[in-house]
Amino acid sequence: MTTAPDSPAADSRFDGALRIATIIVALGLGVYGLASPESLLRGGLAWLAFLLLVMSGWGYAVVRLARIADPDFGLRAVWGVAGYLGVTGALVAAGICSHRMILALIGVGVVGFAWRELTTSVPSWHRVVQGVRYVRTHPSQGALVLVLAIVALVQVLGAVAALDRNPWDDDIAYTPMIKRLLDVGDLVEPFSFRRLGAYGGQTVLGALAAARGTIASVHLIDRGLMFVLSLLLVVGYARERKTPLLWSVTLLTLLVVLPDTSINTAAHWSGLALFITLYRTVGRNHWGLVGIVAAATCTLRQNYLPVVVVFVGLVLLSRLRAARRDASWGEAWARERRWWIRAIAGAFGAIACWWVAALVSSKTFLFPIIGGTWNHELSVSPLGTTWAQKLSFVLWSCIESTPIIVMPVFVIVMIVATEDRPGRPFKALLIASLLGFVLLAGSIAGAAEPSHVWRYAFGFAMALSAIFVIEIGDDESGAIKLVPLGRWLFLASLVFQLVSSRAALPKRYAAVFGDIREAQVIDGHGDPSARAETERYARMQSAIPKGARLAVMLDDAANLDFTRNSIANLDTPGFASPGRPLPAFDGAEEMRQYFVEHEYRYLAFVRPEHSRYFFRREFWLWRVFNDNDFFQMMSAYELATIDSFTELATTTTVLYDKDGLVVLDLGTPLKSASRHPLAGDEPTRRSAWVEELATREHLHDAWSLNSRANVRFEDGVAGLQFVDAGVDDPAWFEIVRPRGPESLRGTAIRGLFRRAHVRVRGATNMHLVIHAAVSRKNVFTRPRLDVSLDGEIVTSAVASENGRYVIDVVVPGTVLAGNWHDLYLVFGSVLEPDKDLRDQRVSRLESFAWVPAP
Amino acid sequence: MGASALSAAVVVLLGFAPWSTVLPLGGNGAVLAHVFTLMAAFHGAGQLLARLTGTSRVHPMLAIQGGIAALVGLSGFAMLAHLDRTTVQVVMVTGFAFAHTVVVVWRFHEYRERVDELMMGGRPWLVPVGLLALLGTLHVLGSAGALGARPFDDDGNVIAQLQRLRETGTLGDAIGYARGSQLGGQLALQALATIPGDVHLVRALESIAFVLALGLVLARLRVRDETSALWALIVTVALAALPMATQDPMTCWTAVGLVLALHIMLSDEGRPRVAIGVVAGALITLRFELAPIGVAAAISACWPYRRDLRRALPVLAAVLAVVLPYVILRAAAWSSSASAGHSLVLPSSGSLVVKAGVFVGVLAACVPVVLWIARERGLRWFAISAAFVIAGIASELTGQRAYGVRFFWPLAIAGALLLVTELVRSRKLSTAALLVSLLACVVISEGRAATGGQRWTRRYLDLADNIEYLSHAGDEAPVEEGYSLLIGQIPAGATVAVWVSRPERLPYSELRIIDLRTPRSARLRTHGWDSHPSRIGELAAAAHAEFLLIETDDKRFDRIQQSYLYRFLCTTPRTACADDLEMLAFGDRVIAEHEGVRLIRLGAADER
Repeated sequence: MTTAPDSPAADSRFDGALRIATIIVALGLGVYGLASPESLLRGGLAWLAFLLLVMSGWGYAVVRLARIADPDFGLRAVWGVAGYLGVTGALVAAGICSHRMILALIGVGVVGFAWRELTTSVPSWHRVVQGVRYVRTHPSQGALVLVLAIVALVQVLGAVAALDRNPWDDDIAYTPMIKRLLDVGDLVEPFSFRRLGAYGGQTVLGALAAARGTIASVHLIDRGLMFVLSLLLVVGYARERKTPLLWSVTLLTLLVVLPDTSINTAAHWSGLALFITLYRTVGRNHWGLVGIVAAATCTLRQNYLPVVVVFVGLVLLSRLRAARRDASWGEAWARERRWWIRAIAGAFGAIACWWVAALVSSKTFLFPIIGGTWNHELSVSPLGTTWAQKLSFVLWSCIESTPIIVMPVFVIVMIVATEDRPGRPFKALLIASLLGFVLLAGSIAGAAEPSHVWRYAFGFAMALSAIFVIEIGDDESGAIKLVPLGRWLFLASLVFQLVSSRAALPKRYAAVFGDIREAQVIDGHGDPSARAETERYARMQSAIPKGARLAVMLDDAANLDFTRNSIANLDTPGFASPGRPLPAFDGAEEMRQYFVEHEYRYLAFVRPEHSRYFFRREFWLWRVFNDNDFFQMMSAYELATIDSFTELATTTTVLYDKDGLVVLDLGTPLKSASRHPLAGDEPTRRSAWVEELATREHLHDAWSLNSRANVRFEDGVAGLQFVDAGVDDPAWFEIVRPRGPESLRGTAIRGLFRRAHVRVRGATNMHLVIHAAVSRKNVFTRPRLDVSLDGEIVTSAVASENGRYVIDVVVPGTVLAGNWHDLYLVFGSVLEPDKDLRDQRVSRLESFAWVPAP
Repeated sequence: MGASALSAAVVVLLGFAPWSTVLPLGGNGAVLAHVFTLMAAFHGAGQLLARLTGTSRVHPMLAIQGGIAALVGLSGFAMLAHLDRTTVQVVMVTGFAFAHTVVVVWRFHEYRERVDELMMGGRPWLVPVGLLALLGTLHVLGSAGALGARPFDDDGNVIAQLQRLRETGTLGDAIGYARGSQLGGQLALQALATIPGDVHLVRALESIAFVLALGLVLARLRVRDETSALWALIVTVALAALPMATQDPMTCWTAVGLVLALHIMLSDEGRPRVAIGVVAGALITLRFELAPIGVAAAISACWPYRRDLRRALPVLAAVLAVVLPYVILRAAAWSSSASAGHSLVLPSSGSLVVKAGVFVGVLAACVPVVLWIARERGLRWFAISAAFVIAGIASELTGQRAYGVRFFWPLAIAGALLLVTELVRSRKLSTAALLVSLLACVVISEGRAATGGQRWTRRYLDLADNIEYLSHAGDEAPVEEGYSLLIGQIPAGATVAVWVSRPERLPYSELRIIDLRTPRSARLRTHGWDSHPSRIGELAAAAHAEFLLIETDDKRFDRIQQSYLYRFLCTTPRTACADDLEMLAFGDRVIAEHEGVRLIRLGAADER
């Protein structure tokens, strides 16, 4: 044991005792958390504190192995996280990262923590004493910091207490994956769409929380542990750079009151923590460790990969270029080569096993570049997305930034800032982040809203902002130079962001305190509804022979015992599957044969009328006509799978059917289920299947107004609506609602703006039939409708006396040539000379047929 | 490639880029190529103007604004001679683009030095200029493809008048485009922007003007260091985010550019008097509301020579040379129709004494602000003229207030940009600079938070959709031919009053067409139960119209919804239920009818 001469313990006789006491306290926290899995709040909080110390212990092990200086707590702990992720990659690949192994890894962290406490010159209790001393000597600043700490603690309490999970992601995929990992030690999920899109780092982190015996605390890691570590990283870096308190406190306040844009348990705060750590590690020139942290960051979210690679690559290139100034390229390379080798070796060593694990599970280590088990006939971006659509989505995403609404100003100021230190890490991170953002937005254009882009970009976007605040606050070292006007603008924007965040705070804290109250009530007893669910699922699983292979499509597969059966989770049916694509649209019999072929004899699913959320048929039926292309496509697969499984429950042996949970023995069919042989590629078959579904559901008109294999509705066409067909052309004072007591089916329509854009394709002569109507009693005119294809007029029509348009033309196949073509419906002006039109929708589209001409 | 070779290549590219119009391009490519040509033409004209005034070295961005003004002036003369047809416009633009190339080649070394100068140092200008180029491309192409925007300004259907100008080479409709609030300079410029396609490209002009005005600001900011680069970026982004969506084809950025140019010319040493006069004159032809700025600039330019008026004469002569052709043209158009018609379509005339009183009152209210701004010597002329603009609009001396208030936008934008350029050039971080930069951030935030069509995102999404439309539809809008079936039945040269939704599809070169469907005359279309003369009919009579072309609409439903009595009595159409326009159709003989459009022989009922 050594004691630094200027430390608070220099003259303490109790130093050794306090060090041991610290270790005992840490162990006590761990034991309490482990011994009370039913205690959500107290047990969870103790476990969170314990995990912080465990990660610090892991970090110390990394520090000693790398033979580098011991940094501040935050950086050390996140280095520990990176080390933990580096090690668990190999364990996951080997299929041995189960509950016991995770507990053993936690034990390694405890040992590391104890090692540090016993050997360091600055043990943890010194930090506590220093903190108390700081508050005493700087009461006003100390009070401010305390207030912030209390607010942060409330957030952490809320994270520990929160039971709610996202039914889209957490219930059907993320939590079951954690359970699978703890049960069997691998992440082999060939049917999982979520598994394809992530290496699994966040799952392994999530397993740390569940290792104490409960999977209830799903937010403990990201919103708890990683949130605290993010704050500690910021504090540590601000202290290191000697950033003035004004900047540090403003940044911490910003982070603490930042609107919560994460919608599930995927990487959010963990991304931020790892990116800040990566940046700080780069700044310290520990290139081997840079590689490990970079790899760990990539395991959290695959979209972090380009940012990490570009960032580290640019820094190394910049250093090489700087070295070239006073030497030849060869000499410069000889000087810098070792850093490149260390970084690449560290990164490869840490990520290689994750790649192997991904290959074993999903047959790819680089999705979406290498498809793996992804259904190759699917595309995340809508079919035929044009560059203009991608550009508009990127622009939209750039402008509508969340949760930092002042991001455009931030970026402007960041661009203007200059940096002349070796490697120019900040500029590198800025360029990498901008590039990563544009790539991300471009890749999901049309499939998501900008808020999702920012959710995925939270890690690097927030890290960039936080680092900038700290570094421009650091006047002395002048790492980043910024003109006074820039500082002023940045500070003003920060304040503006803080002020704008206030509106959401009351609601957010009301929810947090609601969660805490609930957790208090059930503390020590566990979540009763979760217990009931577990029992229900256990009863169902008992109907399946032990050791049998099982495919499941359930609301909450985390309630299953993965040790009892080999389970494959269909989190989004049709998106990922081993071998050929899941034959979703070929009938139930094909589906049965597919599973039997892949040796999944047993199938468990939830009946749509009993599903809690994700597998409700009515929900998908609504969605297939009312969402963007991506979700319409997803809806088709969900509906087809739900319908097939429901049918199989009538044609195969039902082993269990209670409370909506059904188990089928696919190997013993009672009779043959339906076959649905459709010709063409999968998009064509999907489109035909949806058309048949629409006909069955008496929604053919609605279907005709939706994008499909050969028609895409673009700009100028409003969403699908159902109106009362009894009131043909309502004036503003007429009430549009059914007149009789009988139940009426509405008429499907889509509003048309003055210029409506539809994209079509076809290989032969195509018959175009459009029925539209203008609301004469609203626009008071009957504008001419010009229909053009690729800039050539196809036909033109004037509305009839009752405001109807009927377009009925045959488009020759010679002008179509198989590709997408642009059909524009342009109405003559409805603008009146003396008043502005408020509602830009001119007309309504009632049906749109585009079929091969006889 | 060495720096020198790179700058030489840039200069060569700048010199010959305008000739990309000869390439077989369509849609977006054709529009972009034409934009280069038009900018080059502005530059060429500006350089020639500078040469005429004896200025040897003028910044290209400033020369461009001078060129815009010069082309307004030349278009005025061409219109006066009934020559401003598309062919002449093409000749004008090509000729001045050629002048641009000649100037670039002639002064190759000078331009290369300029580029070299820019290339040296840390290139802080690169990001602002790149951003402006990106935004400019988006704006220009997006607005060129904006088919659905409003075709009317307060005087009439601008698109139809553009078509008239392209076909007949002049403006001659005293009813359909009375020019009660303008002289037509904006329309002359818009015609130049529509050269590569049809009149639907009209909105491209304002976007080109946006790029040029902002380019002038960046040039004025002299982006050489981080502070000026930050200003340049903030100004560019703030103007892109500005929650202002002008649906009208009204002038905004053209006027802003000219005001900035005036300010620069007035504040620089050597004050090019003729150029100031030309630019001031062009500004006056754009809108009466903004005319006080042009007048103030001219007076300001003359002020140093107040004791020697002969030296002030070039300014006044240049102003008159630009403005007079438009004034004569308007007078000629008015003389072609009876004065009764004018009183119906001109802005309402109230008591002049009351207007003058309001004018003086508002002017007095502006005095403290003017005095505060006027402490900055360079901004004095603008502060005074802005007060006159505000007073003119408020008192309705320069136009109708309801529409005129829209011109506070160009005034405010120009004022803000002038302030920024002055603040940046002072190189001091004053309180005003801090406040203005903060204001820019507020504008960005407001643009993001605005709702409806003004929302920043919405405007840019619309631009992207328009670009896609332009790329598929081509530079000529694919719309049905028009009214040829009915027009064919009218003898050539006859006067036809029209009330149709697409007057731009009419043959202006074959007939004398009077557009009745304008914002002012639309208000005359009323329904009354009593027997009253049709004021629309009066308009048609004042225009000496022989035929009337009416497109059926369903305004009857509007009246049904407005009045219980009308709903009760007029479920089936009858004479008493007709409004002033429909009454004309009842009263006269319908010669032909096709797809809801009726051709009526006016006065035929009397003949019968």
